[in-house]
Amino acid sequence: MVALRRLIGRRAYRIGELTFTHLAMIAVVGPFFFIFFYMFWSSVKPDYLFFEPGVWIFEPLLLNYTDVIENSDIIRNIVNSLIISSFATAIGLICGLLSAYTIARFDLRRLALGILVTRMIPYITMLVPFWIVYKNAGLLNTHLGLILSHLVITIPFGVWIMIGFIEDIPKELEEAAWIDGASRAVAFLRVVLPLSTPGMVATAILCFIFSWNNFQLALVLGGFDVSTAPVSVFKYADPESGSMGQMMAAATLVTLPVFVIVLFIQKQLTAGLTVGGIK
Amino acid sequence: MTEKAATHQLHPVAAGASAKDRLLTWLDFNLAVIFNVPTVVLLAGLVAFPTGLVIWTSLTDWQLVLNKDPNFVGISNYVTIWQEERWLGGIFNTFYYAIVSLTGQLVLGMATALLFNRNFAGKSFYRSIWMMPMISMSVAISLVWAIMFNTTYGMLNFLLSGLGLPELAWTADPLLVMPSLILVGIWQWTPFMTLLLLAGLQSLPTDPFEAAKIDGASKWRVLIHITLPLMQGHILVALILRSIFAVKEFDTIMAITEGGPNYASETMNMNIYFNAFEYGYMGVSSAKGVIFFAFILLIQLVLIKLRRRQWSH
Repeated sequence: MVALRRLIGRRAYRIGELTFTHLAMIAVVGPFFFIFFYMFWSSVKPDYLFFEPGVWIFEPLLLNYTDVIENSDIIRNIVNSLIISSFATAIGLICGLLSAYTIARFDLRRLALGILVTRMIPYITMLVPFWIVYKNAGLLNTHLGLILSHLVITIPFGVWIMIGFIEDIPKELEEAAWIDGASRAVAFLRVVLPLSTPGMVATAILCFIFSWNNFQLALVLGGFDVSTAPVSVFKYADPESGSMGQMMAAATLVTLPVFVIVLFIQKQLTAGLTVGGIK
Repeated sequence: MTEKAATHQLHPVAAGASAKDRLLTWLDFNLAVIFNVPTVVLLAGLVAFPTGLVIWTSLTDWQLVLNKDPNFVGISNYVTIWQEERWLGGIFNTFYYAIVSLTGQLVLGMATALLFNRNFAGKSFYRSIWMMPMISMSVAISLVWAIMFNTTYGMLNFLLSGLGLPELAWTADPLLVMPSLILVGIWQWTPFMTLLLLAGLQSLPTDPFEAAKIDGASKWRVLIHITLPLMQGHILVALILRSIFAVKEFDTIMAITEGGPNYASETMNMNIYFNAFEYGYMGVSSAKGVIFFAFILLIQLVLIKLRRRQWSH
C-alpha cells in the first residue's frame, strides 16, 4: 500500500481511495434503495405495462393514487394511525422520561430489568388476553383500545432509550442546582428537562415510527370502524382488492412520511437507536 | 434508594416551613416512587395482568364457537400441542428464519459497519438511505417484495432470465419460500445491525490499532486479529437485541405468503394468530403463546450467559 502510494503520488492515491469508498457505498446502498425506487416508480406505472417488468420509461400517472384514496379506507386509517401513534407516543414519552430519570439516578436495576422483560413478551402472547378483556369492556374497534395497546410498544421503548440520554447529562449540573437551594423535583424541571430535549425528540420520533409501523395489534384489536394504516395496506396483499399499481401507491403513501423524517433527522435517529439498543 | 434520596436532601424542613416547602420535601423523599407511578401502573395493567390471564386461559379448553364456557383442563394443552405437526413445523420455521437471517445480517452488518466507519464526505447521506428499510412499514415493503417475487411478472425472475439463468418459483416453492422470506429479513434488518456494530467499532480502544500500524500489519490482519476479537462483546449484544425481533417476525411473512404454500412458511407467531383469531382455539393458543415466550426467554438467557462468560475472561 505504501509502495503504491509512492508510485502514483499522494494526491492520486487519495482520489483513488475516495472513488473506491463511494463506489463501494453505492454498490452496498444501491440494491437496498432499489426496492423503494421500484415501489414508487411502479405506483405511477400505467396498468397496461404491468406485465412488462423490463419497461422503465413511460409517462408517470397519478391515477393509482386517486384510485386508492377514493376506493379504500386508507386516508381514514392514516388519520386513525396519526391519532393513535401520537397519543401512545406522548404517554410513552412522559412515562419514559420520568422512569428513565429515576433508573439512571437512583440505579433502579430491578425496575430496568422488569421493563426489559416486557419488551421480550411477544405481542401475540398478550393478544389473547387483550382480546378477551377488550371484548368484555367494549374496547375492540375503538381509538382508546388501540392507544392503550400501543402503549405496550411505546412505554418500554421510551424508558429504555431515555435511560441512555439521561445518563449523558452530567450529574454535576443538577448538584449545582441543589446547592443553589433547588429541590430535587425543581432541579429536574429546570435542569434535566431542558437538557434532555434532544433525547426526547429522538425518543418521540422512534416511538412514533414503531407505533406507526405496528401491524399485529391493530390487525387483532382494530375493526371496521377504527383500524390503522398498516391494516389498510395489508388489504392490498390480496390480489383481488386492486391492481398492482394501486398496491404500490398504497405502500408509497404510508412510507413517504417516514422517509421525510429520516432524511431530516438522521443523526438523532441513529443516536436513539444505538443508545436504545446497546445500553 | 431512600438512603440515597436522603443524602441529597439539602434543606430539611424547618419548624415553621410553608406548605409548598413541605410538599417539595415530600416529593424529594419519594421521587423514585412517584416518578415511576405512571409507568408501573400502565405496564402492570397492560403487560403483567394480561400475562397472568394468558396463563389461566392456557389451562382451559376454551374455543370461541364450540366451547364458549371454558373448563379448566390443567396442563393438557401443554401436552397435546406437541403432537400437532403444523405447530412443530412452525417451531422449525421460526428458528430456521431467525438463525439464517441473523447470520446473514451479522456478516453483512459487520462488512457495512466497517465501510461506514471510514471518514468520507457524504457519509450521512448514504447512512440516511441505508436506514430506510428498517424505518419503513414492514407491511408496505412486503407488498413490494411480493411483486418482486412474482413468478410471471416479478423483477427477480426477469433478472434471472435476463442473465440466462433458469427462473425460480420463489415464494410459491415450499423449499424456496423460507430463503425468500429470509432475504427480505436480511434486507430489512441488516441496517439495524450496521448501526449497532458501528457504535461498537467507534467505542473500541485506539491503542491496539496504533500498535498494529507501527508494526506494519496489513488491514486484513488487523481485522482478523484485532477488530473482530475486540468486537465479540458488541456482536453478542447486537445478537441479544436482534434475536428477539427475528424470532417474533410476523408482518413480512403475513403480508407476503400468509404462511403458505401449505404452511411451509408458517412461524410460531403466525400459527398462534391463526389458531386464536381465525379458528377460535383460545385455550390452545394461549398455551402456545406461553411456550413461545418461554422460547424467547431461553434464547435471551443463553446469549446473556455467553456474554457474561466472555466478559469474565
